[in-house]
Amino acid sequence: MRKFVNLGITLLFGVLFLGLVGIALAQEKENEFIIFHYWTAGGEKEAIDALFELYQKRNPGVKIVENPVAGGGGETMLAVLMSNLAAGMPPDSFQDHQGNQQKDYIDAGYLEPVDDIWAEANFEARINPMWVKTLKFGGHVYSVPINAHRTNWLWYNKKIFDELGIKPPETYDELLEACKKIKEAKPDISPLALGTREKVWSTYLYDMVLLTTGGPDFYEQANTGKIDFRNDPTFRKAMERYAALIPYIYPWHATKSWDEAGALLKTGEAAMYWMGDWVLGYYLSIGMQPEVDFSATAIPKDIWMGHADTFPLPKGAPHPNNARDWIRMCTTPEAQKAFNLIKGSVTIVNDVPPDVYPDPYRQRSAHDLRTLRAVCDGFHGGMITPAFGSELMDILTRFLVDQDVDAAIQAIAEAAERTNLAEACSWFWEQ
Amino acid sequence: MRYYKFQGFAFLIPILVIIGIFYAMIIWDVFAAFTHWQGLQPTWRFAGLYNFLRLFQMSRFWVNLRNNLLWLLLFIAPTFLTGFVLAYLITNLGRGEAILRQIFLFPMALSFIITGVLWAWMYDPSSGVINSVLKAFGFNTSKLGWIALPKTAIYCMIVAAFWQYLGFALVIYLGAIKGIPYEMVEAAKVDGASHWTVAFRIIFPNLGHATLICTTMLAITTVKVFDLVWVMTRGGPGVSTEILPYLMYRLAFDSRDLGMGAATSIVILLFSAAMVIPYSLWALNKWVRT
Repeated sequence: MRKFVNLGITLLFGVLFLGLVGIALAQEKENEFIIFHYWTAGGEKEAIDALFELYQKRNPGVKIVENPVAGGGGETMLAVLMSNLAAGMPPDSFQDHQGNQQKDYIDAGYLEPVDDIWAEANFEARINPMWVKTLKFGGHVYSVPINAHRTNWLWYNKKIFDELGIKPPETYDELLEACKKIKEAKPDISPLALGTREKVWSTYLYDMVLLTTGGPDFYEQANTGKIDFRNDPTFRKAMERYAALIPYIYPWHATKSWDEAGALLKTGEAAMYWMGDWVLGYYLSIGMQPEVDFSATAIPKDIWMGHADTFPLPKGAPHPNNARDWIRMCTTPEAQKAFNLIKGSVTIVNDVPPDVYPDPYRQRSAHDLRTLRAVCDGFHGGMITPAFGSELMDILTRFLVDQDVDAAIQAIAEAAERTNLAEACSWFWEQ
Repeated sequence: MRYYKFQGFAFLIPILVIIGIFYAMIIWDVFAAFTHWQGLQPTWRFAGLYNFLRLFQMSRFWVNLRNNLLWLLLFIAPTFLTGFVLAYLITNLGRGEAILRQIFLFPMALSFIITGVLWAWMYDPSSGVINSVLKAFGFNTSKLGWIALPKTAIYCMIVAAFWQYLGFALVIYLGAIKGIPYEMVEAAKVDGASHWTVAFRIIFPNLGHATLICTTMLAITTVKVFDLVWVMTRGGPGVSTEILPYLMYRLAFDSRDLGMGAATSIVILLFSAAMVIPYSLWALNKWVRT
């Protein structure tokens, strides 16, 4: 008798389990759109919601399933995404960058081309050629970029600048000059704010010195490993110029996150901040008045540097039609405008006029992106590989403390060799 | 009787499956450590000791290993010794014991994440409470960077962990001290032994098992302080406060070098095995004898 009871219980559990699996499988078939993103902070959340709303209007029957994984830098989402992709359970789309950040997925065979969507929307003709260069791999494109964040902005405390009569710097030399002036007049404050709690921000200054020392072509060569790091005189000069800035940088940068470092401008503990335009949304949210409390200047003024967020199409997406329609929607000026007005970035496409933005910084960014030479920033822009970038930020955060140019150059050269930077980036020069 | 055995095993199946998966993953990890697995897709190309050699060539790896050893040396001994002294004092206190025990145990209820955030705020050089208090007393705090300086950061973190785990050591010793026959202590006191002598020559030598449990648990803790590192410094400034689990994460998920990440995890596995095996042997020995 007891045996039968046991058997019965086992069978019952078995049936229950199968039922659950069945329900799970049935749900797969439902009309859904599954997306991974990490826009969960205030401002970002509203921006992606605006896109969802637009999508819902185009596809009323589709249920949007978000997997928002909180955690800022997106590293947690990446770990989840990686395991899902490896297990053959991709979402319909996910938040990505371009260049080497995307290439890993393509090399692993996780993405599918969307050439037809680009052709249909005449996308290539509507964007800065730099985007094509960093989104096309072997003649194919796998994603559509939704926004453009400019990263060669220097934000500054306008009151301090007005008080000391400093002209907003537009070159590296003017920046160093401004640092010296501020240090002299106000020894208690740090001329340049920086937060390296997330170490990646140390690479933003690195990009700036590469760009201002060797120009955009040198910049692209250096970040794709095409120079001899050990012996290149321009590279050495760039690192020396980085070192020259270090005494003027906020000394406790290791304890500050990017927003905490940005807040040093508000408290008057620092005068300038080298950061991408997402800090604008932060400044507005903590009650700083544009052109009263702060302003921004681009260094160098004749280059647009930045990166995009993109939506790729995974191979084997559970709802490919919905995914393709999402990507198609992102090529339209309406979607680009709806997202970027809230997100704090500008549209990738040139057919949204710059005057739609309420602030002068984005108007200028949009205008510059249409007219100037553009380059991708190193880490988020995918110029360097994630592997090299991860090592670079460790080297640079050490460099920020010891200021040893020789050791940093040596370490960068070794890291580039160890991670095969030149070989991994050769795709950039093949098109 | 046979029927009984069968049922016993049947009930163990779920847990055996879970443990089996766990060990299968360790074996998988060992395999991965010997492959050229870079990027997102597994490549089962045998690489021999390539990953380990690359790992040992990184100066960063040795910084990590040194930090792990520093944690072992500077975290364990002070924590269990202070825990013991406090436990001894508290047992002699009488009624205050109940309250004090709660107070010291309280930090244990926090996760490392909260401890990390709290202490990171306190250590903040410009607005943290430590420098603010020192400043109020007229000290020059402009050079006191705490966790912002590579030389001091790791010690600051060890202090935070010490704060959290002191209560743990205290409770273990409190329980163990109560297990000691009181006559022994009485006899020593009659013979005129001082507090110091009673504590360190009578009680402490009789607490071997508590010390072993305490040091083993604390040693395991030092291997998994990942969260504290993540929250307080993210391994910075530079790589000065990184420990091996953190390096493993960075290599595997940021550098997307799964082979090297797996190799690091093997080093961690050996490292923790070296710490746990003495305890296991002792426990096994005791079990066989009883």
